[in-house]
Amino acid sequence: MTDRYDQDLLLDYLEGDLDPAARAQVDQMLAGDPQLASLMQSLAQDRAMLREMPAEDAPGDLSFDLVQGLERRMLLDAPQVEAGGPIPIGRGRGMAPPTGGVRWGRIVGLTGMAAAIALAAGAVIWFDRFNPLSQTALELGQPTNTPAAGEAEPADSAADALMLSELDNATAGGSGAFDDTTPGSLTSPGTSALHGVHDENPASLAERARRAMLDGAANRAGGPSVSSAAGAPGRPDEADTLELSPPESPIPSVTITAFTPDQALRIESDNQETSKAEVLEWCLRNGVPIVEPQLDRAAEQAQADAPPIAILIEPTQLDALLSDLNRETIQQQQNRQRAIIDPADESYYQQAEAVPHLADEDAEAFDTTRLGNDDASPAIVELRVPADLGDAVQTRLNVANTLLYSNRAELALAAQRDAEVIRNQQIADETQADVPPAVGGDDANDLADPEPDGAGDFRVTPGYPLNRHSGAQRGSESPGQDEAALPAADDTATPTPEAMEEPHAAQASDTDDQAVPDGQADDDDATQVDAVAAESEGDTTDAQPPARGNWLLPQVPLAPSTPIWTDPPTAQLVPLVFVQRLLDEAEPIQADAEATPAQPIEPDEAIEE
Amino acid sequence: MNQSSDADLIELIQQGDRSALGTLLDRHQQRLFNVALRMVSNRDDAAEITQDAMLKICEHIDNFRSDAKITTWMTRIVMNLSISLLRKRKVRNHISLESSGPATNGEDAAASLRHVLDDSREPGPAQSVETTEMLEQLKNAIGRLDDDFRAVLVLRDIDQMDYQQIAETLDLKTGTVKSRLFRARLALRQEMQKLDKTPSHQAPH
Repeated sequence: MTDRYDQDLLLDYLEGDLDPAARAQVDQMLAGDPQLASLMQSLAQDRAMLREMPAEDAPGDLSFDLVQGLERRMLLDAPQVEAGGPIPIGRGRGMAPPTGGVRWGRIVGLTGMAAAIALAAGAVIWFDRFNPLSQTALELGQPTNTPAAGEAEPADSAADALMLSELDNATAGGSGAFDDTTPGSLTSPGTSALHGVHDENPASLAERARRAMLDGAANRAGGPSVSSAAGAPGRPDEADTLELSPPESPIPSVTITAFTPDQALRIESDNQETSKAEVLEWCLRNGVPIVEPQLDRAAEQAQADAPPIAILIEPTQLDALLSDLNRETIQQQQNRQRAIIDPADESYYQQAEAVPHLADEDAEAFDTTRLGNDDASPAIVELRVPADLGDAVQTRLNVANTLLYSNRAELALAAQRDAEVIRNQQIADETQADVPPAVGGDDANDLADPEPDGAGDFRVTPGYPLNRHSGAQRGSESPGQDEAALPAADDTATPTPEAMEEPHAAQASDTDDQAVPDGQADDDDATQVDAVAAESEGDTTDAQPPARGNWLLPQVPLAPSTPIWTDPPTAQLVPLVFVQRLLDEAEPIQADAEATPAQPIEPDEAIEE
Repeated sequence: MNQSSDADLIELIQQGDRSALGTLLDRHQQRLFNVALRMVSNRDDAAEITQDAMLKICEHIDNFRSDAKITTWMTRIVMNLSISLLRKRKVRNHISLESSGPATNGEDAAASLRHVLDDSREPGPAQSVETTEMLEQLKNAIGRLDDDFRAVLVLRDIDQMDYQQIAETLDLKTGTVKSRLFRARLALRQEMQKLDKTPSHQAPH
């Protein structure tokens, strides 16, 4: 029948490319074949709808983000590559994935997976021979109508059980069972549906577990986002009462088949942010045996979304796993909410306080970070810095990430550099811990001060050679230049009460008004902003390499996906960093560190200085 | 917006004017995003693809030859990234033309046409579905198409390219483009009919 149709002719007719004569010919043909006419009408309708499909706006200004990201990479990557420094944190919108540095996470992950396979091999044996789950696994292979679980042939392993269950999936119509009303979040079946069935008979448990595994296909085909155990056949009342929540995304990013001693559960998430690698890492970290993926496919599957993960897990561990994943999901949702704050609004950080779902302490931390959005005035990044340096690093990174998401890449750069400084100090402290205390005096007292008192929290260990060198280097240069290049040095010292209470007052009064008496601004006080200021120095002086190269000890690469605001800081409000002015004065960092490689100074030298 | 101004921008970029690069990207980002969006059916993925594409454009714009159209080149990058993502993440639906019978060999357009004609004997309820639902259904149907079919449909109907541009973008002959386009339209209709029959897409009675 179709042989008589000229497809090119029909296509040209659809596309309107025919001349009137040919078109009349086709019209005549269609008049004689209602079927074809109906089809052509439908095709034309589809075509028209496709062409009239409204264009959607791109989220944000992608090209602007890209250009900002490129500029940031130009600023950050070059010196880091030269000096072997840390890789950029995070991957903000518009940022290419970091290309430098060692991918420790991947190495650790792969190494861990190799260990996990060994664990899994043993676990499978245990699983198959000694664990009650073997019984469950048998039943997993049963068709829906198979009455007794014990009558089935034994499965060789949990993986076999999984495979059998997948085969069974073709014949069993599982129904989704969902008790979670939050799209994209994972629900612990141990705390919801499954807890309710622990007291039921084993056959029912097995059947419910089997159904839990089988309903995955229904979920993937447009079912709810999260699944747990479903009602057993013969219990339609229970299944009917379960509510279905609309899927947030049709493509689940993570599928976990969790075998507990008495349950087999399938847990799915369509949250695109939850990665399989996270789950695997969690299992490795907590000693949960991984049945799948196998070793030879581990690297590939760790990146893929579709293949399931099969793990052997205790119920308590399962609760912990889901709890952790839930926490991550909520965190990421909060991050997304922050990311859409309009930076054009002068009070957008104040708006952030109103972002729903913020925990109180998180909102409090956010409140302390303000950004002067007026281009005419110096921008202020005001940080809540805890006494613990590790938290301080995290705080700075959080700010850097937040600013990146707010399209303030230049300020993010400053905050990020600041974080590098603190991180280097932290590394130096760790190094120094193996060395006898070099000097005492006021500095030592500051370090021993249990009360966080502002800038003192960031002081480097007295006698730490690289920072001493940094101070001496600054001293050897033009003092006038130092003063000009380091307006914020004083600002990193103890802030005035006014600044503590009213950040905007500090912003309005500009940097000079925030200074403390000169005597208080010793070398270590200035170390906080040395990083940023030294960038300026390194670029504005002819032969001097960037001073930051001096403290680039063996680096710990910063995590490429550092989450934002993971741990809200709790300590008092301290240094103000007036970064905008420094950035305005700073030239882009040149890759001249190679010409004059940084030479760490021996501790003895520094002490002598 | 016209091609000559694009060429001027490229010339400026190749002479070292980086501000022209921002202008060029800004001019095309919306179009590229929509092409990516219709390919991968996910806004976040589409945004990421668009940015990756723009990054590639930035990296290779200096080597761009003026004898090719910049729009075609850009779209080709987006298409390649989209298809790569689809394959990597297995975004496309398992129900593809390969498993749906008539178009199994991908070349048997006549058989495909016959199949659709057979199905068209049963008028579906799509006629009575609201426009918004139809659009949603159309998006779903596009998402279920084979990558090749989806690409040619997106370029033709969403990006409104002519056959020659599509051929350049997909590196195909013009005749192949036309043939594939017709089969893609049939496949789309087929998917629409399938969706009509599913309970979730039944029109309210």
